[in-house]
Amino acid sequence: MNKRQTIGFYAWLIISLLVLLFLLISLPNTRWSSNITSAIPSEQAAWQQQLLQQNTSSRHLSILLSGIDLASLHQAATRLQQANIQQLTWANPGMLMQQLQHLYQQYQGLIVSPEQFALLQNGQFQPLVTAAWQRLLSPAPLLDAALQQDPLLLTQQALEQHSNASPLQVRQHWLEDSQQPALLLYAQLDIDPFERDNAAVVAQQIEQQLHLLQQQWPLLEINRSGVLFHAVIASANASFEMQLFGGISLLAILLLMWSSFTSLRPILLALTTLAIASAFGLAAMLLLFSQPHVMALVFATTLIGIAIDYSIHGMLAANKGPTNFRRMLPSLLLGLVSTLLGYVALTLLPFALLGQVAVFMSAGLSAAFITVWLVFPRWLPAQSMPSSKLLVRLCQRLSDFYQGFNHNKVLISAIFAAVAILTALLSQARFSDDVRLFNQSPAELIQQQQQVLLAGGQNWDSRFIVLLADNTEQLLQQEQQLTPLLQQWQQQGELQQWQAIGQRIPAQQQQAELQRLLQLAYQSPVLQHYLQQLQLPIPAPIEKRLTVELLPAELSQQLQPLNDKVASIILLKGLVANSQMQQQLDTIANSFWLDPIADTNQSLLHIRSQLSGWLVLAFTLAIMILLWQRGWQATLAIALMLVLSLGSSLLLSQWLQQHLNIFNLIAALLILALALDYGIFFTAKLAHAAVLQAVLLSALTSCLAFGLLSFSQTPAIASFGLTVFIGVALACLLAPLLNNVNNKEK
Amino acid sequence: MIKGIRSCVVALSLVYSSVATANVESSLPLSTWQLPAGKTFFSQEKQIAQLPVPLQSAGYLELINNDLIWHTTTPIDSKLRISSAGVSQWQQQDYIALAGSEFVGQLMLAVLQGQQDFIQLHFSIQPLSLPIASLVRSPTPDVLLQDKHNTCVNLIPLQAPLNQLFSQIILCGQQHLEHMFLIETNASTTKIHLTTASATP
Repeated sequence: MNKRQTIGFYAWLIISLLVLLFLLISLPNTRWSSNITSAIPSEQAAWQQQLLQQNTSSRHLSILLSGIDLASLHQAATRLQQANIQQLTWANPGMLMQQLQHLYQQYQGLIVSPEQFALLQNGQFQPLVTAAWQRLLSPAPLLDAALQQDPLLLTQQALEQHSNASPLQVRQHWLEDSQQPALLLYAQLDIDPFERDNAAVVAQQIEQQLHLLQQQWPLLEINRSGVLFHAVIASANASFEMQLFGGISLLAILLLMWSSFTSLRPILLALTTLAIASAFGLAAMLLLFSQPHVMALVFATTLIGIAIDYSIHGMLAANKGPTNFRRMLPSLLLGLVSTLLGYVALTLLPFALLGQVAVFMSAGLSAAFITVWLVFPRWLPAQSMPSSKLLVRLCQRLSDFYQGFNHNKVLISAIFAAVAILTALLSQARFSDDVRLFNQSPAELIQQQQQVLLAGGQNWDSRFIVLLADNTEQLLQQEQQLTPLLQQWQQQGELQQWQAIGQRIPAQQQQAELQRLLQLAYQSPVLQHYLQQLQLPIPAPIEKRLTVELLPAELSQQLQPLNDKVASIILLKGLVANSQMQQQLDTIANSFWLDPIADTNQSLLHIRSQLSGWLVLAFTLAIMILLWQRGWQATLAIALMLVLSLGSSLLLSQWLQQHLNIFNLIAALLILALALDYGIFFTAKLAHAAVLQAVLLSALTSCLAFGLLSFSQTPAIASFGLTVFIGVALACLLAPLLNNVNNKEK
Repeated sequence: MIKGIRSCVVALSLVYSSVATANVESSLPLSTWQLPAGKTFFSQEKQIAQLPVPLQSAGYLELINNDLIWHTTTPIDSKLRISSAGVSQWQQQDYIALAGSEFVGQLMLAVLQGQQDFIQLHFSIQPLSLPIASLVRSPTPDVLLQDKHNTCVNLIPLQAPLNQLFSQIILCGQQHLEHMFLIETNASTTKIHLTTASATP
């Protein structure tokens, strides 16, 4: 070993130690994200993205208690709210209601229903007087000072007309259904539910308290709703799977190494390679991303499967001596370059999650290669690692078996098979870009959420309308213009209900017009008679105006400042959307239809198209490199092997999943990189049985790593793992046939 | 001397008050005051704060399938349906729910049906220590003051939203509930006199 190699060896060890030190310092302070949607790019306009980011609904959570008598429910709810749960603030709906009532009480005579307003405009005063009498004579209490400011009780009646879809009634600290005893408690988080560690602490405290309640009242039914619960489960799943799959992969690989080489040295070398590769991958991810995604780590466990390939190739070559090791290195480098090309392609896509995975894998695999290159020749002297005789015999037999095939027959069969598979794939492939299919919460939690949302009448559609204006007054006037369209949709059965800020606060222009109409009405004989009967004077026009700023902050969240504009979010319920609705909405100035899920799906569709392009480009690039390095015959054979492995894995995934998705394409990119490695080694100037031994062990480890992912509870990861597993297994089966082709290197 | 007498009176009234509270709670007549089948006629006098004239109305109540129909016939024809889900107003062809009236609906139903559980959960039940006339501002003579056979129960709401609407509710009667006084926190009062169909001449 020359001096330069020695310096390189020690330098690499020092750098590796520094990276480990960096990790020890950085890891405890890392903020991990579990928000899948934030990892997926959006094609929305900048203001739309800002609006969605400003939305705090992800911090809300609700708990529905039922199943026991009302008095016990009161006790349970009080106990829960009195428990000291950090970073959580319980809502006080009673106080909010009081504030709202107090506000409306002060501004009686400024709020009327659309129907009352129409009657005033049309001069139809008798129905208003009849309704006022009916309300006056009802035993139900009136708002304070109702008659002085608003003798027709228009505000009182307008407020009472607001339909309440939920059977729950407002109490001081919760909403209550006294008929079928149930309490709904609302709370707000002071932290981001997607911040893994903080969110887990809060969720744990809540669950602990709920568990105590369950112990005290065994019949108590608890339903939860809130992003926190989903985020924490997703994050816990990802962590668990990362540890489980990573652990099983590692253990199985070590067992494989032990049974193959019956020596501790290869195991230590493999562990060193894996440790350095993982440390470099993680360090690169932490350096480049402020809030890495936990799911990226799950994908990154596949590093074990690929990095171990390099170890095996390195160990087998180093064991045969320096000459063999040097001969092996260019092929390993070529394999690394082709794999890196695949991952670099991923970083170019506007998909943060894939970018993080690509950075991790690129840094990790580069570190694995350098470790093999600099460490293995020093730590593994020639002939120091006896291979298992059984393995050698098996590989020799397999090699003999593969070499017995007729080259031309294999080539013709492969061409036919490739055409058949590509035809089947092109005719049958159906892609789904629905983001909701990628990350699935437990069915029970989804069911609980549905129950809570239904009980609270908060089952709003994920689609909504946004109005933009220069100021709130303009915004409220725009809402007024939109109202007839919403009413029309409601009458046509396309919309069940909507919620807008204008339903709580009318535009000042409308308030002024109402005062004018009321003064006209008070002069009419019908109203004159009514006021005389009550011995009330004609009220003076109300000069003050009800403004949005007077609303409690919790009730004005549908109004959002947006740079120099103001946005109003109109929530929709029971929506049966059609293309006409969008067109009708376009006729109203500055109104926008927002569908975050559809937008994300659209983004995924675009990324998928881009990824398909990258796949073709990576394939073409690989073919060009192979043509240069291996000649046209070997290139054609490798290309056929790649097409067969890729095509079959996608086709089988289509059959098993009923559709393909973007993660199957990412998997295809990885298969391309791995299968290319196998192709490179089998067409290299190396002994067939030795290459077969290395590739067999590599493929086994890769299949194990990726195959385990197919058991993931996260559909995106499972889908990815399944495709890579099939692809790698097929590539491993087909690659040994490449030995029969003539190539430039030979 | 005067101070001593006053102390004795205060002490006696406290003793009386506590004994009476215990008696009232142990022998609530509420369960016996359920509305009889058929129509129960009512006359209502509503005194709204700052309104110079009292509003008088009359009609009948009827229990139909656990819903109370409050039918005002004079001075206007108006129908309310009071159920545990809230109060609904008859408008042209259907009952339209009045939002926010759920608790009032439950209260009326509980009082008129003598639902002891609901009342005990939401009210403190106290003896009537003050003359009703001092609580209810009414220009009409108070029948209760002249009828010594009546038993009265004073309900003080314990929690929101009831205690934000009503300061107290007084119920009086003998065999049936005969008088209801709804005293609101804003000083409005509603006095309802009930007579069963059999008692009507």
